[in-house]
Amino acid sequence: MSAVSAIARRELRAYFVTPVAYVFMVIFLVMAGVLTFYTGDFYDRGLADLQPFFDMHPWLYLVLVPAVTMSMWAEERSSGTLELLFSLPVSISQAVLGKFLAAWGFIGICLMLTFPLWITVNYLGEPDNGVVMAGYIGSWLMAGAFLAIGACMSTATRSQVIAFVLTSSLCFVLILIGQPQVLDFFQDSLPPKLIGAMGQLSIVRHANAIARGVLDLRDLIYFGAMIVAWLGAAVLVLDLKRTR
Amino acid sequence: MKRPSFSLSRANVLRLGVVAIAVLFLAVIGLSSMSLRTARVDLTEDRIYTLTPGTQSIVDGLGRPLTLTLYFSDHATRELPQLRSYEQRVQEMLREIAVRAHGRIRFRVIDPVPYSDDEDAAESYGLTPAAGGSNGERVFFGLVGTTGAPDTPVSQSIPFFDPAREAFVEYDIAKLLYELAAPRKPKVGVLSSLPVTGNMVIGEQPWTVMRQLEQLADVTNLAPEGLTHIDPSMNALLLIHPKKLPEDAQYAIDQYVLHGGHLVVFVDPDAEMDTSPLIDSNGTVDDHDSDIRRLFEAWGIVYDPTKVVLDRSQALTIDLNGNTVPHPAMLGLSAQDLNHDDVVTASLQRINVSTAGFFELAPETKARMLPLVQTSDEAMVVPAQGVRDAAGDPSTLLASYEPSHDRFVLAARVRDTFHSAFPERKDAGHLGVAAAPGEVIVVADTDLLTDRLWIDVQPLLGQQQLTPFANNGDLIANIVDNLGGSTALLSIRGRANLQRPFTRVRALQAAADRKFLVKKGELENELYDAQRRLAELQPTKGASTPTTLSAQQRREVEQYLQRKLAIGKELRDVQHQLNAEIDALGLRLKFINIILVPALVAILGLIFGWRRTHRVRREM
Repeated sequence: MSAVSAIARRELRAYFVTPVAYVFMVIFLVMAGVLTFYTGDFYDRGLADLQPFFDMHPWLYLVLVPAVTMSMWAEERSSGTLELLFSLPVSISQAVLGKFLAAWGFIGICLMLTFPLWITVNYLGEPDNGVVMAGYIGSWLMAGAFLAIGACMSTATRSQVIAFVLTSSLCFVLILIGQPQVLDFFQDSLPPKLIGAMGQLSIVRHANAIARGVLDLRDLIYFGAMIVAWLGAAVLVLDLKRTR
Repeated sequence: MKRPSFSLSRANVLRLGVVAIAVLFLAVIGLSSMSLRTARVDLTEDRIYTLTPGTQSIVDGLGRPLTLTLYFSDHATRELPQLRSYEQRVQEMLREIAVRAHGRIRFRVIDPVPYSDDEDAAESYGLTPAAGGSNGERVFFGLVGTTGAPDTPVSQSIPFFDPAREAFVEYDIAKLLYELAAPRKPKVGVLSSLPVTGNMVIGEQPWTVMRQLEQLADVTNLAPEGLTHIDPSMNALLLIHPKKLPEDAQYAIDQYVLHGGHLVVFVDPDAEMDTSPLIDSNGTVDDHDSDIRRLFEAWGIVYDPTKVVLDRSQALTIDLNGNTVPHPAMLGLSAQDLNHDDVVTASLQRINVSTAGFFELAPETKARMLPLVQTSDEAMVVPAQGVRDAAGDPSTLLASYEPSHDRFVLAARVRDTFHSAFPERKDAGHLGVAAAPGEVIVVADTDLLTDRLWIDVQPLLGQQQLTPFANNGDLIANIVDNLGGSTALLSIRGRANLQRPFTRVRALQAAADRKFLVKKGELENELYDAQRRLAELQPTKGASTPTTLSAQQRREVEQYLQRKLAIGKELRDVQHQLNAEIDALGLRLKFINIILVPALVAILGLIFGWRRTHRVRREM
């Protein structure tokens, strides 16, 4: 476990060594603010909650998470440092987990930096802070799922651009799959049970369920399974590459 | 024989592993969504997604299996996000209830699309669709509960989940479950000294309130004489205008309440339907008032039967010799005077009362009073005799009117672990103190029960057409509904209002509105003065035409029109300026969240970058 935390700490520190992390954070904060206030109509709707803020997160992560993960393994592979990593006394799964936790921690820091919005909503009215807290938890879990997908995609290709596109596409599918318009589209061609199952796979549905203020075991299992499955796949893909 | 190389088989194993992960992932998601439904942490402030113990005990007490069917027009509500989010909450609650019932409740959701059998079924269960769905479709959002044998099913329904009753959604669902589980009507006793049941001998009909009550409950009329015991299985007792109640009857009521009975008391400082003579043959004066002083004292309630509440801001107008005059003792109490956090009065709009008294709590009591109906803060209290004397011209009551700036409680719930008013009695089964906290509902008017204050009766084709113009009847029905159910049902209170507005913006808006109104008044006065000056300049009515106007008049007209235009513009400017404050706050918050915080992060990044470069250079 200490190997995992050592890797995670090293990777997290590495984020802040280059200006890329700061640029990313600035973009994240500006985009979150703009989407919340303008697209989500936060101020004019006059309700003391952060729903417009959290509603925008899937779309924000759709662009920003692949940007974080695209270089996670693809760069190691293209620059040849992957072999060096394998020669170190850490297992593949420890390396995968360490890098993932660093990225998740980084997104967590970005999320925490949106605290002025939480202060804003408390200044304007009397929000249910339990619901706000749940919104942050749901958002962070969703980011974790997207990061795990990104990590896996990054192991599958040498090209960062391809990793970015693959991650974005998969995340986009997970966002779309639960949208009523999409379910409606398949209404006539697929049996209702399959449509229901499709809805269960929707990441937005599970994040929204948490953002209402309820931590349901089903939603936590969904995100847990998502992260474990994609990271597990990433480990297998890396192992496969090493075997070759 | 050639054996497959290790690396190839390992690669295949790894590929198989990826497939296995995908299968396992789908299996975990599928299984968890099907079987795990109870493990959850409710982080909301009011625990709105957690069933109250009252609902849980009703669900636990369900004796027979039942089916709950939620009809929701999924397709028609695609453009109604607020209704959809409310539906999500209702559905969550119903699922939670179904899980709690351990198989005794079957829950399903049906989308009654237009022209389908489901739509017909929904309507046959009495669900009322709302207009306004996408493409003009009707929106069904109601619940049907069915139980019993398939050939003789019993059903109850909630016709429409009104978002305005969101705070009471759990109560409404629990009530439906309770009524399905115990389909018997509640038993209600009525002890009255007013002719509420009419007089068949002289062809007098029962009051509409009583006829309504007969439909809701099994009503037993009790006589005060010889009343020594009230059946504790009676779900509620209505005590109307208690006058000189025998001690035994009072003791029976006292013990009924202490044994957990639900009592509603209607007392009145001046009951206008009291038919007893004002001075009887013995010369005893009867002021047509009523009281149960001994019981009220024991319950910590202060009530004075000689005092009537006046409220000039809520006065109803009455017709007096062809003139309409305000009657400050006859009050039309609107929604803002009714308690919106209580299930009994939450959805009512208007209650009319006449010569009502008021209640207070005794200073030393531990009881809690939850007002249901209150006056405005312009009310005052006068002797009941004064009101009776002013019957000829009630507007004389306004001559010496001095508002007390207090809101008087006309109806309330009083909660406490009640003590007996008869501690000295030692009858069998006597209770000195109630075993558990209980409550009584007290109402300081009996006239609100009479038809004249809430209903228009018109003959129509040999039938009586009843048109309510106030919610007095609904108030009584709600009270009986509420008290007639189980104690568990009574314990389910409305949750706090879920809408949380920007209070700061609202305060700014209210202040701006006030400023605007003041300014508007000033400008309108100015305009009125100008108009009056103009009228004074006109010599005789009808004589002036534009051609006969003098030069001075034309100048005045010109000035008036210009001023009128200027005032219109000034008012728009004032409105704009006042809204500017709200806009400026919005702009400041946008600046902080969108520019200031990211800028600080950028500066921090630059400082770290600069220090790092500096250090590296120094080390080189």
